[in-house]
Amino acid sequence: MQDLVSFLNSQLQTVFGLSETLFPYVAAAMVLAIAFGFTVFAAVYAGVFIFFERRIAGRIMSRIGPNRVGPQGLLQFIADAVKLIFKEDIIPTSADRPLFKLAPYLMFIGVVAGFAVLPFSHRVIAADLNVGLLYVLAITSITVVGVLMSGWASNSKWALFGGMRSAAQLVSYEIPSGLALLPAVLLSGSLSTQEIIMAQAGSPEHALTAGGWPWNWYIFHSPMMFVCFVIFFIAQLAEGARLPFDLPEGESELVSGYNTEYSGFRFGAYFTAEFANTWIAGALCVIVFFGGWQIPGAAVPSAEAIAASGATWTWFGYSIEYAGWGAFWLEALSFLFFIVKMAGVVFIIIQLRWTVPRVRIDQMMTICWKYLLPLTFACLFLILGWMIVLPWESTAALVVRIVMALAGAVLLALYAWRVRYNIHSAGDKVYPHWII
Amino acid sequence: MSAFFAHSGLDSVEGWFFYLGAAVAVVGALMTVLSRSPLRGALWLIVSLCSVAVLYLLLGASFVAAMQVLVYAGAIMVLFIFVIMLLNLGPDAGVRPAYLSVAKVLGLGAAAYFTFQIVTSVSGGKAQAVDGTVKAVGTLLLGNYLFAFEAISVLLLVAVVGAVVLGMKRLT
Repeated sequence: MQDLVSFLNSQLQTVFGLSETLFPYVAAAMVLAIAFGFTVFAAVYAGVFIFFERRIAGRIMSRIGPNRVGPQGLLQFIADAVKLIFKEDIIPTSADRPLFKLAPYLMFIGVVAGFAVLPFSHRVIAADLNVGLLYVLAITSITVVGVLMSGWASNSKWALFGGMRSAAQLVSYEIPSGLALLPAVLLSGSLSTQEIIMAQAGSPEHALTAGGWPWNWYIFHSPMMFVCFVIFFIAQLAEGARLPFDLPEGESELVSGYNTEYSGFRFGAYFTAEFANTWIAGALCVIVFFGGWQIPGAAVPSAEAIAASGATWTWFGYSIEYAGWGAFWLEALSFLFFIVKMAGVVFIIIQLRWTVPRVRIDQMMTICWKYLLPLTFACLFLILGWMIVLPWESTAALVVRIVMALAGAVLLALYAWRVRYNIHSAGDKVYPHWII
Repeated sequence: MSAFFAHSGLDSVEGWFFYLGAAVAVVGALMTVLSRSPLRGALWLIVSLCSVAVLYLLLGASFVAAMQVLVYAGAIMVLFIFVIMLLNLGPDAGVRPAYLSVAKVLGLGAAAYFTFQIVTSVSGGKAQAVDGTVKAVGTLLLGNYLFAFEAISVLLLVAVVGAVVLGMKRLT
């Protein structure tokens, strides 16, 4: 995006004859425009996500789900949003008004600001910070403040209990989720999201070792790395308050938890933020463990070559000019790869919600502090040893990675077969069958 | 006039962001002290800490800025708020009026002293941007300041062990 800003600046200068002193302000306006774009993107993603969630829930429960508004019910989320916006906005008389009003926005900001460092392709990223991963962890922790604030400001015991549970849960699970990302940081030697993705590549000389193949993903680096992914995934479920960790809003105990007293648009903001959070969870999984946007066999041009101009992508013997239209389609393809992988992760997050029961609060704490945390430390040390014994570039490490990737494929096939078996044995009434 | 702008740093976007961040940090810190409700005070402190993170960012210390938000705003202040909510502290909870006046005198004296020190020590001129990457911070922590770093780690370990011991006594 930095490229984009400088490109637009040069266009402004040549086409409109704008003076150079205005550039910072034009850049600031463009940053605002990008931020607005992300907000809209998050809201639309949350809407589409809710549609998929309801349809998958329907399939799991042997019913159909929303299918009336738009083709296959795809526009249901717009109807829901209109309904929410036109609802009466109620603020309880005993509530702390300013804090009550502020809380949903803090939650929304915490989620949307995280999008800034999530890359969609080699060049499409809002800000490639050198502390990208830390930034995501830091900015999403702002949501805890929003949740606590709403719990307190509502002046309702259900909201307060929900807020307290949420704070305890989020602060606890931040630790295993941060530590599970650490091996990837050690392997790539960087906290930047782009550099972590580009480090998940073998030798660029051959198409079968260049980036993007499953055997170059960090998840298949070693068995411990796979455990790290599982730990990170569980911690992200807990941080997003998704089942089986949705204690902060346990309907059977707390009405709706911290957002009990909210209605109308404010409730909509909570709702959207919560669902948009699954994008961040899924994207982090894909970036750190599944090779991000890398296309199988495509070797990314080095930073020096790009700076020197005339750089090319190498893909199965073809050279694609970095500055040309070919690269545009290549980047569109890498965006597609990213979305498909992310959709897979998000699909599992949705499926878990409708298949596993909620854990108790003491079980939630036990899982985090007594199991996940020691396991993460053990994995971290074992991976450090593994890195010394089997360096990334060595042939032995490549063979191990290929074996791990094959095992992963078998696991995925077993999982798909099991899901199919369960749905069919329950007497699937959904027709046509290709619809989720 | 233009010379004033150049000297004050208001001719650049960074300059504007500096004044914005600094003003919000000061207002947040003042409101932390002046709020009657402990919870609002804690929330204002989060505002102040986040604005200081913006100042770190302007100096190029991106790692410190991220850590400031992650550790202080995201974890430590959440625990503060957690305790305030758990004890359900209202305005002026648990403070004796006599202590309050002593605290006011001491606080104002300290504030006046530090303000004087800061104002007299600022020489003007621009602050130097630092290399704030993880690598630079790591080299400093595990190189020049290794002893202090390890000593603080031991101190924190002592605090953790102490907390566990206190908790154990309560249980038995």
